[in-house]
Amino acid sequence: MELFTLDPGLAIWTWISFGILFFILWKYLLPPLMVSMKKRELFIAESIDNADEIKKRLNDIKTEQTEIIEKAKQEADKIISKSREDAEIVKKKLIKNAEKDALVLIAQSKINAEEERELLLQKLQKELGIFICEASEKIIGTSFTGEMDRILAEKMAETL
Amino acid sequence: MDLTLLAKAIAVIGAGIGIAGGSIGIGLIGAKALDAIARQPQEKKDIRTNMILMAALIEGLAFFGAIIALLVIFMN
Amino acid sequence: MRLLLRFFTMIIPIAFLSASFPAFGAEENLSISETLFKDILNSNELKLFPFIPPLKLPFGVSEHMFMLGLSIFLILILFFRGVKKHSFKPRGIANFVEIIVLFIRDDIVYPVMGEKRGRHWLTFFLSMFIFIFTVNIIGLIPAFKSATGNISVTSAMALIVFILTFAVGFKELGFPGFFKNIYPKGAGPVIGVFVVILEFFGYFIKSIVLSLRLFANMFAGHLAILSFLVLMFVINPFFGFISVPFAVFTYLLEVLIAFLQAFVFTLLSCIFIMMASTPEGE
Repeated sequence: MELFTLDPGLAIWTWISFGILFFILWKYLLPPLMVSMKKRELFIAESIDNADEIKKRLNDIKTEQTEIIEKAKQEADKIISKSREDAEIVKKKLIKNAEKDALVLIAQSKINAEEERELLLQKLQKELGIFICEASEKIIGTSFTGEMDRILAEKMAETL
Repeated sequence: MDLTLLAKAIAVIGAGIGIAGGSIGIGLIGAKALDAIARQPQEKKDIRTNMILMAALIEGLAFFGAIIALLVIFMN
Repeated sequence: MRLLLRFFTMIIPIAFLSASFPAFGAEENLSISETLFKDILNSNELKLFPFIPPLKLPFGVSEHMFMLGLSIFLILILFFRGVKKHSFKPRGIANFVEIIVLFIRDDIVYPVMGEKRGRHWLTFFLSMFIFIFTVNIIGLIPAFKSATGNISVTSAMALIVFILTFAVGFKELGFPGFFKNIYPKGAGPVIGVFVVILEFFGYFIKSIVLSLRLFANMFAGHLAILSFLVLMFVINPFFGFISVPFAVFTYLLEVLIAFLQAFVFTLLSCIFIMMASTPEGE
C-alpha cells in the first residue's frame, strides 16, 4: 500500500531541507532581526522612562507656574489697593481745593454784588434828586440856580 | 470477496465509533475550557494552550482509529 | 476589513481552480479511488498544467521532494527580503516576518519553556513552524501537493522531535536522572518500574501520534475536497452546483487547518522536549 509505506529518500530529503532552513535562519537571518527588535524594545523602554521624567518635570514646572501666578496676583492686589488709596487721597485733596476755590469765588462775587448795589443806589439818588428838582421847579415856577438850590435839593433827597 | 467487503464495512463502522469517542472528548474539553475562560479571563492564554494540547492528544487517538480503518479499507 | 475582502477575492478563484483541477484526471479512465489518490500521493511526474503532458523529474526526485524544496526556497526568499527591509518601523514583508517571529516567541516558546531557555530554542521552533506551515499551505495552490500529506515527511519531522526529546532529556538530567524523573514518587518498586516502562513507551507513542496527526489532517483534508468533486462524476454533472461550493468551503477550512496543525505540531514538540528535560516539581 503506497499510503503507509515509508520512503527513506523522502525522509532524508525532509531532514536536509529542514536542516538547510534551520541553519540559514540560525546563522544569517534571525540574529539581525532579533538585534533590531531588541533595539526597538530598548528604545521604547527608554522613551517610556523619558516620558516619565518629562512628566515629572512638567509637574514641577506647573507647580512653579502656579506659585508664580499666585505671587503675581498678590502683588497685583497690593498695587491695586495702594493705587486706590492714593486715588482717594488725591480725590479728597481735589475736593478740598475745589471747596476753597468755591468759597473764595462766592466771597468775591458777594463783594462785587454789594459794590454794584451801592453804585446803583448812588445813581438812583442822583436821578431822584434831579427828578425832585425838576418837579419842585415846576411847582415853584422858577428854576433853581446857584449853590443854594443844589443844597436844598440834596437835603430833600436825603429826607426822601 | 464477500468477506473482504464485510471487513471493510466493519472497519468503517469502527472508524466512526472511534471518531465519535474522540469528538465527545474534544467537546468536553472545549466546554470546560470555555467555562474556565469565562470564570477567569485573565488566564485565557494558558487555558487555550492547554486546551489545544489536550484536544490534540485526543485527536491523535481518534486519528489512530481512523487510520487503522483506512488501512483495512484500502488493503487489497 | 478591506484586507479581508481582498483575501477572499483572491482566495476564492484559487479555490475554484484548485477544486476543478482533479476533474482532468477523469479523462484517463481511472477508477474513483485511483483518481482521488493520484492528486494526493507522491509520484515521479510533475503535472503543473492540465493540458500539457506531465514533466518527468530527473534523478529520482519525486513530486513531494520538489514541493519541499520549493517551500524552503519560498521561505528563504520571504525571510531574506523581510530581514533586509526590517527597520525601526517595519512595513509589508518585514512586518509579516516579525509577526511570525513574535507569534512563535510569545505564544509557543516563551510560555512553555520560559524566557531563559526559550531564547536558545526559538530559532528551532520558528523554523519548524514556518516549514510545516509553508509545506501545508503550498498544497492548497492548484496543481501543487502538500508534502505533509505523505507519512514519510511527517515521520521524519516527528523523528527529529523524538531524538531531540531524548537527547535534551539525557543532557539536562543525565541518563539515570531521566528515568528517575519519570519514576512516580512514593510508589512501590514493581508499580514504579511498570510506570517507568509505560512512560518510556509513551514517548514513542506520542511521537508516532504526532506524525500521524499532521499526516492524517492534511491527507484527509485534501481527500475531502476531492471526494466532494468526484461526486460530480459519480452521480451527475449537474451535482457540481452543490459539490463545488462544498469543496470551496472545505478548501477555506483547509487554510485554517494548515495553520492550526503547524501550530499544534510546534506546540506539542515544544511541550514534549520541555517535559522530558525538566525535573519534576518545577
